Amino acid sequence: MNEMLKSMSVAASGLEAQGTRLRVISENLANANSTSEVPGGDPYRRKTVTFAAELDKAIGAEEVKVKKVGTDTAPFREIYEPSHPAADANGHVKLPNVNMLIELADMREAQRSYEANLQMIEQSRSMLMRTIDLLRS
Amino acid sequence: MDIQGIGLFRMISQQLRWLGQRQDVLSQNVANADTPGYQAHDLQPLAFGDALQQATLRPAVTQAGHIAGNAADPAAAKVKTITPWEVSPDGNGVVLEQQMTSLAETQADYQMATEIYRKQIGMLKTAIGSNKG
Repeated sequence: MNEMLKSMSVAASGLEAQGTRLRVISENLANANSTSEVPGGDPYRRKTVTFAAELDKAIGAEEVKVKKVGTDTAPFREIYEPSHPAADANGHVKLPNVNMLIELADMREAQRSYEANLQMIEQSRSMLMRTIDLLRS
Repeated sequence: MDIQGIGLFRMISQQLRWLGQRQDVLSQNVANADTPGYQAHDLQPLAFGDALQQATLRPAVTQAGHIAGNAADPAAAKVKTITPWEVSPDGNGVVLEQQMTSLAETQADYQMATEIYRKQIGMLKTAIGSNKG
């Protein structure tokens, strides 16, 4: 395969991985206040994304893929609110272990990486076009 | 006529191939910019001296028992691990700014190589006389 097409396909794997990451971040943000449906139960648990480099044997280059969408084991936040439907016998309600600040920082990082990969595709494409343009001279 | 017999054309096509491979390596770095433990790579610089050496005659392998000439294959540029500006806490050694710098460099070099190629072809055409402009 042409080197330019190869690099475009590697960059595309980066786009997909960052897209998955962004999806998980939006799940976390959307569920930042999702409590349990039963009294005393566990609320939404924050999800995490792990990346891994994977050798694509067909093109002989290391692409990136989402290795695992795991869960954050950090403890839940607890507040005292006896009137809440999810409150336990002592009146405590467990809230998700989602930290808005972390999610937003993560989101910015995903966006930055996504842009870098896009830039890569754009440049590979322009180099390819430059080579094809040699035919015109 | 084989234009690869002209030193300049051979060097240009080698550089284009090298830049293409570099682009490939850089895209792997950028794609893995958030992969824990991933180390950034780059190519060994292209040695133009070696490129010119190719002009000399080399022994060809025509039988199974023959030993090939020891000239390096220009198509296979060596990949090395680079020293990143910084390593993130998860062990990732890809700095996007550093990669973007290399990317711009590759872009400029590629542009230069294709322009030189174009000009050189233009000069050949002038010599042939097909370029009346």
